[in-house]
Amino acid sequence: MARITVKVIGPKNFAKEQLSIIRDLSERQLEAVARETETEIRSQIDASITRAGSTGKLKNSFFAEKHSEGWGIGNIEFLNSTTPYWAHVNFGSEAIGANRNFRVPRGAFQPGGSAPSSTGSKQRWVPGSGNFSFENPGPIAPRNYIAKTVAKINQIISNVLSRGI
Amino acid sequence: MAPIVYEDDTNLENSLYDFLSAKITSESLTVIGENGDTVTPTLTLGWKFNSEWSLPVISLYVDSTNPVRSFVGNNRRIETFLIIVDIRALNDGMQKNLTRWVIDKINDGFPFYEYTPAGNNPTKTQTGYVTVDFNTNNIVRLGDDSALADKYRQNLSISAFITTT
Repeated sequence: MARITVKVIGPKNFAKEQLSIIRDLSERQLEAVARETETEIRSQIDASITRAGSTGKLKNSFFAEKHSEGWGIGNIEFLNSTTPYWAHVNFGSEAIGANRNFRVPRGAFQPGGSAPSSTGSKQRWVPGSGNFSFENPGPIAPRNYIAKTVAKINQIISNVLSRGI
Repeated sequence: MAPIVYEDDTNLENSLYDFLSAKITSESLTVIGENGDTVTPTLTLGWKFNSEWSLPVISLYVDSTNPVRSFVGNNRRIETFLIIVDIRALNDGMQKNLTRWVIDKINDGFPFYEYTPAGNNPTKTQTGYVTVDFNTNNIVRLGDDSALADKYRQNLSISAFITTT
């Protein structure tokens, strides 16, 4: 059988160059996935808000961050120091505090500066804005914004890869 | 006027509830309770914890769905359901063991039943099977001063897909 030799004419370090291209591409795609995941988790938090007047502090505490092993969203140390209620809101909890009869810090319902009423209020409790207080009447409902975001990650990855960044 | 039928969300919750309930019974599953006696874990539907329940409690509920279009030009959806399972235990060891037990039981999926209202005992017919993907498995850390129901708590989130026969 005849022996056929194929000669590839190209850059000297073909394999090395290809690896460099693949590395750059995967870095860009990973960053794109991180940024879109950041958008998704913020959107999930927004969708879970039930009262007007949100400052956006919780959602803005989640951001994409580069670290030695890649990208991450939601720096737990940062969350614990700036928005320590992040876990209570995500997982739900019986009470923030020592026991079931947690008393909220003194304040008032805003806008209006009204006192708590037995029929409840659709306003937002703002600590320090008044001299009222009340006992937490019920558990904090879970928002599951982390689980909802994780459930969408495969879709986010597909979207990024299909765009061929 | 006919009562509303159970839709996929409630059928899925009840199917998983029935599946785990049957496993607890068939295995005579028990743990060591608060007073050193053997207790059977309580299985419940929904996210709200009732302080009258004795720990340990395994609660489950469907949180949300993600219906993507199956293909262009068609209104049929491929729907995945996000199921949240909370395991509330009396200590670290029980928390880990019960979590592992739940994961092992549902790893291979479970039967999907459609329920028909009939007083206190709805009738059920198996119409498919549910496959599961585990998304998150987190220890819930709400602080040393959290309520006992939150102190030794594990949170699982699962994506479930129903295949009807």
